Amino acid sequence: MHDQNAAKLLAKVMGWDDLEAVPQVLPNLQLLADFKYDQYQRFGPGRRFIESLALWLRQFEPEDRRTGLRLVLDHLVFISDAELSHLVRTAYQDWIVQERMRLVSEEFDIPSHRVQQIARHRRFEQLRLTSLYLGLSDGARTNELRRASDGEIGNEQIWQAYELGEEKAADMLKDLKESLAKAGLTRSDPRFNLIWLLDDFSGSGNTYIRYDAASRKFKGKLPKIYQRLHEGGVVDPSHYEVFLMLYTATRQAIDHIEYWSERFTTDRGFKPLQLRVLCPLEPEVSLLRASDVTLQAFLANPAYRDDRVVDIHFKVGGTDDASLGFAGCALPVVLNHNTPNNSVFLLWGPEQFKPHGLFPRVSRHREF
Amino acid sequence: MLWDHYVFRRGSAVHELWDNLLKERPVELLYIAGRGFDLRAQTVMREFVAGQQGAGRRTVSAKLLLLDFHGYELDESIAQLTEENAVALEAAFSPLGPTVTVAIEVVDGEEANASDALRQRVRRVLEEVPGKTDIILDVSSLPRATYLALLTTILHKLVPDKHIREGEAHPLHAEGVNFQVLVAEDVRLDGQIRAEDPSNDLLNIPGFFTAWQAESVQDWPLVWFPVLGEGRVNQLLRIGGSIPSEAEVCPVVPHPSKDPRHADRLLMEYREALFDSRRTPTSNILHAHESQPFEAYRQLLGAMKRYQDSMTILGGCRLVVTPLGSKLLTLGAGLACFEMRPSDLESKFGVAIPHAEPRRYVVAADRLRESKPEVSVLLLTGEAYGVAG
Repeated sequence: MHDQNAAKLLAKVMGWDDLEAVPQVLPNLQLLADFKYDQYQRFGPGRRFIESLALWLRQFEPEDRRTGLRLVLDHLVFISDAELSHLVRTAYQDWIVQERMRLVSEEFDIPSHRVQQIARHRRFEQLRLTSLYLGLSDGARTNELRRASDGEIGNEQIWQAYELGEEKAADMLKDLKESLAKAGLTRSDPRFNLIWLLDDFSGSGNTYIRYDAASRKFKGKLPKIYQRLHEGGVVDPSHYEVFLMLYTATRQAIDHIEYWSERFTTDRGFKPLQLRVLCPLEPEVSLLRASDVTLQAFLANPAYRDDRVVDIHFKVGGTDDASLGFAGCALPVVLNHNTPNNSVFLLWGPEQFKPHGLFPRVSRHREF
Repeated sequence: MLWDHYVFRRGSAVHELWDNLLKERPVELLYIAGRGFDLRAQTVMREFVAGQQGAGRRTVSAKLLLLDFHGYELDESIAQLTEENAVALEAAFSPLGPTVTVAIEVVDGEEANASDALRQRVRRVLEEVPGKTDIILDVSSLPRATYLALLTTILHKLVPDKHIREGEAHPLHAEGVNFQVLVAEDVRLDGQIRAEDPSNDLLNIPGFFTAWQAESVQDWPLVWFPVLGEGRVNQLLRIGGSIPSEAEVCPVVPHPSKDPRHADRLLMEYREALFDSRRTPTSNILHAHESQPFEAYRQLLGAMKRYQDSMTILGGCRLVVTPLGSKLLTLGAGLACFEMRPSDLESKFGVAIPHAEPRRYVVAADRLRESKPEVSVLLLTGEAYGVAG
């Protein structure tokens, strides 16, 4: 829809007959729509933000529409494609290289500030080659990370999935042997020392690790990965480090993953997981912390949620109320490619539901 | 890229760095700070002095240069804080050495203009540099233009040749002189210090003047990198008045930031100034880490180099940087400008940092007293960049 028509539609839905509110709100919304919101990948062809916003607000009673708009204007955290790409570009130089420097400094007792000396050390190069990078979801952007490393991560060190088949693992080890030999760092039985697990976002941490009290088992991606890495002989059991790098995550997820991964690795005798989060979202972001009583009532209104989304996967988060999202996180967060279900339902509710979300989500599971 | 590998520490890691860097060697120290109202400078100095008095530290000589500033309109409470701060800083440094206050000369009863005053301060600081093993620039209570000028001119003195040559010492080794920049950062407080009534006369950062005013470069296309920060729209407009309407504008916003909506809020604040009036495409917006100066340096340097490569085909270009963001972001921008500044007079590009100095700072004194800043250190030159063990 053309910008002007979309603006008229929004004004009509909001009842801005006097047009006084329009110049205060609309230009800012249009700027942010142009900068990021229009790029939401789940919008249908030709659909843009202002039109979507108008249609989303129209679902609510007229007296609730201002509150709905305030949710967007005052709380929405939209992480755009450019922002995620920027995080990925910082990952290599400012995080991965720094960890290698720390390890060389500790192993060889070189003061950590002597960066040129460390960077020229043979061990620094060896650790570069014996680093393995695994994507944990489509959002891991493994290709972007490889490009951001400016050739320091080879194709043979990076894989877009964490389920390494035996053939793939064997190929990677063969390539590792060759690259070490080429660098004059021959080892008879080369294995990877540094494992980097990459993902874009965690809201609650449950997907990565959780403890199932009924079966007394750890579940989630991390236990599977640890198991697979050890079975497959991919890592050097005498020296390895496992890092989980999340481009963005809530403090709730950080605390959850750190707590449960420590329990898991201690229990199984594995090396501890080291979590690195490039853009942490602190608890103040959560709408549970918002002091706006009207907004809280708006979000809690049973007419503004659809509990059909509460399925077996949703219940893993420990709640069966859709309004505050998975695990009751109540986030106002939207990622450019999909809205996490840890956000409030009114942001991610699928398109075919009433009400639907402002940035409808496409589920990985059948959530309904 | 000079700071391909870098040393940046914050919080408790700062003390570990100081221990490694300063222990068991004779130190001849020059410590530069502002005689300003920002009490955060005391936090930084106390932490440093306490460490330097510890076991294994040897101070051969130490001098505190306290740069004095006049001409700002300050509320009485803030003016009083300035005096208290000066006394406290001098007292905090006294276990290590004396304090010298650098005041601006008054000639024939007339105070120097802002650009002359800045040049005088820079000259006085540079006179103290020879013979020092360690130079510390604490930017916590220094005005932005002053610390940018000191950062770039001290670097220029220590690193006269920026070329990295295989088999030779890295330029940043700087004959072993350790140049540290200290920052007591509290982004929220920075956002609450209002810089008002910017001067009409743009201040010239020494070394970044030619590309702005020289007649010979006025026909070159101009690329403007305003680094956005809260409450600085007036400063931006003052500088923007001298930026041609056809200039390429690349606003830089902080991301990631402690506040995930920070960049969005800044875009709204600067909407009229940058987007409505100049029709700046949002695709030109750059992101730079709010609290990681070397990342901001890399982003800005990369963008400047891309434009330099393209624009020199057209005959030349002027790269103009206006840092209005957090202190750490501003330092990152300063490093990029230092590295981009051409050393060859025949170069077909130039870098400029015109600055509209505010005449009035407004902040709640209580807010300054309550601040619990985090100390950060950037170690820019010296033994960190040498190879020998």
